[in-house]
Amino acid sequence: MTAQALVIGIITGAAYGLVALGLVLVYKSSGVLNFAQGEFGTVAVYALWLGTTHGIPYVLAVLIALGVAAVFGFVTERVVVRPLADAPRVTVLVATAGVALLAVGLELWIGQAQIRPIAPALRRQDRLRILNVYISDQRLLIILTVVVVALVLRWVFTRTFLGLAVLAASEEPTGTRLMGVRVERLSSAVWVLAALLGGVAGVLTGPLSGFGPGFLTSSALVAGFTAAVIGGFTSLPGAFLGGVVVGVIQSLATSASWLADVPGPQTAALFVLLVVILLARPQGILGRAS
Amino acid sequence: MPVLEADGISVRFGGVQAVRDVSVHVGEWEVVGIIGPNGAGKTTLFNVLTGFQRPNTGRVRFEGDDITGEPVHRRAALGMGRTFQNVGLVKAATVLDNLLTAQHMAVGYGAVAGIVGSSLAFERERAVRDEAARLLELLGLLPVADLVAGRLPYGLRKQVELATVLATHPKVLLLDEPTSGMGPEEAEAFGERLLALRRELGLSVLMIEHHVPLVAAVCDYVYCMNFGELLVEGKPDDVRSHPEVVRAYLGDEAA
Amino acid sequence: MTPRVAPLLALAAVVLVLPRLVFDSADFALLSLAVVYAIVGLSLNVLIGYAGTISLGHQAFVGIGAFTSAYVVTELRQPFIVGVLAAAALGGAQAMILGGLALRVTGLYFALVTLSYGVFAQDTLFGIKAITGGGAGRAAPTPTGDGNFVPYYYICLAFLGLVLWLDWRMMRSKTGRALTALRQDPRVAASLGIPVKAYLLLGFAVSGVFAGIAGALFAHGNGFVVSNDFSLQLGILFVLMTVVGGLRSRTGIVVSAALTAVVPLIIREIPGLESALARPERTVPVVVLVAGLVAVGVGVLRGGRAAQVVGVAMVALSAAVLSPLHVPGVEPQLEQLPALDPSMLRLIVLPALVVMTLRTAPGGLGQQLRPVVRWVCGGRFSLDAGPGDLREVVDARA
Ligand SMILES: Nc1ncnc2c1ncn2[C@@H]1O[C@H](COP(=O)(O)OP(=O)(O)OP(=O)(O)O)[C@@H](O)[C@H]1O
Ligand SMILES: [Mg+2]
Repeated sequence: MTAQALVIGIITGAAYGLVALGLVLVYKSSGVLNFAQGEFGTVAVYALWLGTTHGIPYVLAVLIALGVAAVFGFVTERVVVRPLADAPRVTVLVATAGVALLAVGLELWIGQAQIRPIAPALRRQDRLRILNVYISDQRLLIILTVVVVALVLRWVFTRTFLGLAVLAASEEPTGTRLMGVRVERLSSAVWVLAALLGGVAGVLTGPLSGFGPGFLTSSALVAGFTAAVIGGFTSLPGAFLGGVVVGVIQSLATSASWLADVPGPQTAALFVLLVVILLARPQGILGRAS
Repeated sequence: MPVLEADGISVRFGGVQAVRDVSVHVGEWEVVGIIGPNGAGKTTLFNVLTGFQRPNTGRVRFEGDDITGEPVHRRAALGMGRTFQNVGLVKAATVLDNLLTAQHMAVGYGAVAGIVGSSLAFERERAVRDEAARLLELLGLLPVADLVAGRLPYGLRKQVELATVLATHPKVLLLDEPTSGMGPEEAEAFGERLLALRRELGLSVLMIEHHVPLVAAVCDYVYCMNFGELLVEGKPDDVRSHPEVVRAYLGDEAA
Repeated sequence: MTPRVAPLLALAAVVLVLPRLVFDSADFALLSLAVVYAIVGLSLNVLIGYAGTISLGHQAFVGIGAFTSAYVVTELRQPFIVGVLAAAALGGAQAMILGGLALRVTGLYFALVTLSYGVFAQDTLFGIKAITGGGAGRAAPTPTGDGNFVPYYYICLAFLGLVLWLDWRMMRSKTGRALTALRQDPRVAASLGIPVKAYLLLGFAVSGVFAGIAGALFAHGNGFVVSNDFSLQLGILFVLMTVVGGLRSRTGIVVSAALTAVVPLIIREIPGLESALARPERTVPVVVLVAGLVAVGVGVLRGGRAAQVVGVAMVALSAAVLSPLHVPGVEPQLEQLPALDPSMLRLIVLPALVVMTLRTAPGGLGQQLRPVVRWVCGGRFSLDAGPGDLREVVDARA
């Protein structure tokens, strides 16, 4: 019973981890809470849907969808984030919330207020069975993706020039600029990368239960933020682990008999979890106190 | 009976021992100075006295009552008024509004009465405004009453800050480097004004001050801190010529 | 200087009389909503503008008021006014609980708490069947009779007047000064004897009371409340309209919130706009053309090469589509675009406005209106409570 919930939790948590990775990436490099992260993904699913309904092969449509997400991220950085570089972080937060709402508006227009199905990349449902839980290939793909992405990003941030420059720029923009690094370029790169991550999350999770306007925001943004908080908002593997923790706690809450009468047990668990963590350990579970 | 008294205060920030076993006391009508090089722990001691910083050890007493655990606003209500090293003002508000804000404790109507607009609140607001105007007049600040406090020149901002603190009707004034940014003549004038205020309002004063001539002129008693510890205390002239004090300052300047 | 009587009378006429002359009685449902939004904006302003914290869960504040009043009126069979009072009380109480969290969790993390709270309220609190009717919702009869929105509009206006009065008095009394001080520098506030935590809680309570009133008015104007009315989208919309209105500017916020609510009416009243939205295959190229021209202009002025290139491309493409030439691949796609629903338009226009506001005029609409307001009021009672931008929000307490 509990073990089963654990399996389900890990599966769903992986998707949260993917969203959390994008959030952490942006926070790490610019200290901004990006409320548009979910919509980076939703926009990608809409692009995928438009592409496949127009007869474009699936793989190509996925690439186009990721391209759309990347462009969205780039434009967001150029038009919204960069001009507000000197503004307080909460200003940028409000601006990104605006970007999210804009995306929802466009999605409502293009796709109407409907939940639509979309084909997954991998169709097989019953290849793997753990503790009576079937894990579809698409789910496996998500888990694999999030682990790989977390490790790659970690490597980028600890070993590559780009990653170290991004970190340096976030702590000491002037000093980094003096060293010949073009800080603006870095910011663009980070947002494009974050949007790509969002796009991957959207394209992979959209097929699980269909999508509608604002789908990734409503299905994973709060969970993603909570996962990021658990990870201390700076640790990339922490974001992934946080996602798993959130997923497991949600699935425990859903299956707990004493919570049977509580409506929306998943959301309630999420809220309680966030509050408890912030009260007990404001710097997150894996984060270091700054 | 001393007005303000601190006993064996110690404060640690991680690895830094900012204050170690410091005791000070301010008697009624006294002007007491605290001197010491940068980073000596003077401001930290002020924060303990006013309640912003909980000490690791030691007690603070005000008019004989232990107030070590009291929050900042309660100490203000008891009669402790404090200025800040980097000027503590409501920067976006006008000078007049700063003085109104400072009379928060004296307005004499409840928060809800103010929100619903009771007639008492209207009446008291008028009185509070009159009092603000009186104080501004007293300190010669009436011409700047309607200017935004944060946009005033530094010196004026410090004067306005002093006015706001006086508006809280303190019994003891804690001034953190009140003459920073002033030339010697201005500092001297400030000293005279401070003594006049003490006479008129019956204040006790504890002030952190770097201007040695000013300290010598106005202080009844001086403490010198270095690296968080009390180095020397005594009459201004004795402290000034004390070899340890000279060494602390020269060492500081040589570094 | 005394207030100018003539402009004030004109303003009263615009608010009180003009709608009767211009709009059908059916439109008064939306006009009532405009008043409700104005109250919501003022409520958010207390938190963001005065107390300096953020709330992305204000749809929950409003929703709690809505369900409370609906429950009190339909289930407890109390009169409408009792419902509103109960909504105000409960709205204030729940806001204070959240405020208690704000004392411990500051800065951006508190923004996350409010975000999560809003979603939690929608899914869990508003799903409690006994009180909210579960997903089915709960009836909330309009006190002036079904579909009779004209008198209801005036009831809403009366409550807006009340909220404006309370807000004005608050900011002119010690509470307003305390909130301003604690927003700008909590240390200074405390050393002047202001109990910072208590006043932060009071700020939350006032905001919650306003939101509760707004929620009750929303419920009874709608005739029915369901939990889906209070989505995260709505919460974001509330924040955006408040920021566009200009923090701490009552005038700007009321205008901006009301306009946000009545977007469909505005669209209907502007000749040709409705049919343009219904034919996106013509409208979209026009919008792209204009946007492209703007991009080129901005690019030339600021020396941005990318903006120029993109702008030229947009202009060229849209010109080709609009011309008798046929652009293969693009035109058939445009033909397939669905008509743009007027109420969706606010989700597109408002974010664009917010970005413009934050980039170029942090004072928002209120700042643009300030000279007019000052002229009308003669500086005696300013309609505003200080200059507005987001600068001091949250960061001051982070
Ligand atoms: N909140 C804090 N956290 C960590 N260390 C602190 C904190 N406040 C002060 N310190 C450290 O404590 C020591 C004493 O600082 P304090 O500000 O009290 O010195 P000061 O005597 O007022 O110096 P100055 O003349 O420069 O104002 C310094 O080393 C300072 O870095
Ligand atoms: Mg100091």
